[in-house]
Amino acid sequence: MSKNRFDELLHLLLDDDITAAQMDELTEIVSDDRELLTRLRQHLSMSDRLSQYEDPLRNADRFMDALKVRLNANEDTGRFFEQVMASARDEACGQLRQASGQWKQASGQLRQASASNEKSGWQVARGLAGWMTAAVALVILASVIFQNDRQRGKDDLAITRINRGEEETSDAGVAVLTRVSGLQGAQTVDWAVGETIPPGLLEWSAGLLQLEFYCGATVVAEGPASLEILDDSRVICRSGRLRVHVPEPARGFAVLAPTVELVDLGTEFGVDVAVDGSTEVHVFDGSVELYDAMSDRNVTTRRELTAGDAVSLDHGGESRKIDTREFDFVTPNRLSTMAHLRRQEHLLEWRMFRDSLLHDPRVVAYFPFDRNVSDDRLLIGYGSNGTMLEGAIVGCEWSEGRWPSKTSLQFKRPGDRVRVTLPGEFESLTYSTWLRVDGLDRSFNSLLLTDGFDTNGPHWQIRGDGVLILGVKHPVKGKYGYKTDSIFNLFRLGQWVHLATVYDNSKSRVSHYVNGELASREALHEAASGLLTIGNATIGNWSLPVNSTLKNSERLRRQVRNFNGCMDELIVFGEALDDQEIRHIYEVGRP
Amino acid sequence: MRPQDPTLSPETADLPEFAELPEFAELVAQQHQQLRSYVRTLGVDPDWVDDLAQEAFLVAWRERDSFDQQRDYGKWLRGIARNLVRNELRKQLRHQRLLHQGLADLLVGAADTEPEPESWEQGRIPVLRDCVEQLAPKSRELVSGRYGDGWKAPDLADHFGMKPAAVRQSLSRIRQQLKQCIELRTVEG
Repeated sequence: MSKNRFDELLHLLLDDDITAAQMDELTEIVSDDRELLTRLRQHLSMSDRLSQYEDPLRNADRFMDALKVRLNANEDTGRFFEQVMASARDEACGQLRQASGQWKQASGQLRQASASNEKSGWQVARGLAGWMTAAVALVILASVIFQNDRQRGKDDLAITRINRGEEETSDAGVAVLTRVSGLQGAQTVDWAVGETIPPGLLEWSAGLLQLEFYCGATVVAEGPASLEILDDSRVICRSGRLRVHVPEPARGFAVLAPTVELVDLGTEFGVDVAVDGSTEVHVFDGSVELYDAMSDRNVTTRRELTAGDAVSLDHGGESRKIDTREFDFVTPNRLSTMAHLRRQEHLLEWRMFRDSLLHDPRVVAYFPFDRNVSDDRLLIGYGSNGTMLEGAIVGCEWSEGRWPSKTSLQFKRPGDRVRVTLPGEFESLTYSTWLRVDGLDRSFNSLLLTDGFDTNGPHWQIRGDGVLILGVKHPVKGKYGYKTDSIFNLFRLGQWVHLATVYDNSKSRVSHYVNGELASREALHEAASGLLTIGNATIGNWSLPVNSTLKNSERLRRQVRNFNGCMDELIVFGEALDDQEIRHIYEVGRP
Repeated sequence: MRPQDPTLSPETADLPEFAELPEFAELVAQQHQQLRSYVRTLGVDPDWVDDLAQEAFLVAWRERDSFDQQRDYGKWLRGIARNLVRNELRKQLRHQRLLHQGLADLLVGAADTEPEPESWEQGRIPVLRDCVEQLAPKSRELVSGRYGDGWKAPDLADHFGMKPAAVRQSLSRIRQQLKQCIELRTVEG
């Protein structure tokens, strides 16, 4: 009797267009008909095989890469921190003691602060409370860097020791921004997924974001919203719609709305604060305590809501029961799907940009870091006048790039590198790359280095202390490094970042850019004489000229400069690009 | 020998470099296509199929010592996948990776008792490719619209000047046709 209905429902299911009620009905039909159940399984199987075959996001390479990333994930981060801690242990006892002194001082201030109810007291507590562990870690890291600096005296570039550490410890976060979709608003321009969020105000006019607090709570917030993060377990919501998931270790997570304070007693609730301050509270799971706003959690104002309860509170604080509407509060899962779609759109835009670059006559070398299916040990690039470039991949492995369906090359081991030859002579040059730095393990961490270090052969690299540096050997005054201040700290590791450097002969200056913004600009140390050449060069490491006359023992003494991280896109232009053009490359390529 | 509870936190396993595992990579290369479509037949949401299949491989890697060489790798992986889905069903609060609790329940049960849906040979893409590329042009377009570009029936219906129900029915017929084509080819060998 229900065979036709079965077909209808099956078709809807396979069209991903079936409602919950229809799903119930379908389940009912197949529950006592083996034959139909088998047919259902066959169609599911065939649908999936077709999708594997047709959907580029599901091709075999991508599946293997994702699995590889998951297999390696724990190991990589573990190894990096292990390394930092191990080298720190032996060398940094002095700084460690100093750090623990600061720690005590900080806890003293914290006690003082909590004794005082004044707002200024809060500020102090906020800055220090959650961050003592991080402060200690950073001091240790800084000491490792100082240590490295000392050994670097003999190196080929002038180095100034940079005093760091103090200002870094103030870069204190309490949450990580993990997902975004369709964000709009002036502040949002610089928000990047993976970024550490310190206490402070977040305001945006539309779109969704997800914050994962260090205590374990997850908040999905929809704009227009104005949130003030107080610490790792308290948020003031002046407007916006939040869905908060609080696992056991994060119990006590609090949301302060204009008319009410909510304290979570475990698992999941929604808060919707309108611009006029009226507030709705919906409990989806577990229970929540409500207190009057500004009552300092006065127990006489305490109310408890449990799963299925929803109340609306007007700006006077009067409350009435309403129906729950769970669907209006976006779940982390749904946000993930939305974010995924957005990123796919972004990827398409980038692909158009990539294709347009192939016709840009200024391009000397463009490596999009798309994995070459027929020979994945070749890094395919595009040179000037439609020529193809082939980089030889040594050691590196393919990995996920800025988007899930984009590849990048992972540099890990001391031998990992890509050998390239970039012909030509240039008055000016522009370098641009997208990177994910996982650690700065060496005194110098190569981006693109010419073989050896000859006159007018530029060396583009990141120093162990996080300084981006273009080293040039000038004909008269000799070696000089054009540097930024330190641009990498612990909080930028593991995130995609765009770096660009312009050697501009006609304006007689070198400019560095980080994420599309000018980071430093310096006049040429010596008036350019002769043209820049790259020739045989190495991405992510340093090689000696092939027919170098150095003895083997001298070769062995050469420093290892392997990059630790992923590279996704490298462009070399034979001309100087301006601020706007660099900004554009960043905008169109940001993940 | 069956791993005791292969569903617990695969990510915490002690894992060496993937590059040192040519055998494992080989296993993944051989098995992933069939495993992924199998995961789909357990009632897993299409968006989460690959995620769950990857998890099954992670578990397999972690539990590799308990694998009995006499057994069939594919069978072992499918067992792990079923356990993962069961684990998902046990989570009282959310079944985020499943299409529908009741249906997944039925499908996992059927997978336990019924014969395997298809041979290893049938799960391979090259076999499918030959059949797909032989489809009539319009059918071919429907398939790539639906599965390659992710269009749903109403969108496809607009494009082809059909009714959504007719699009769904055509797709169903095409799947049936492909199934037969594949069976024929694998028999021919």
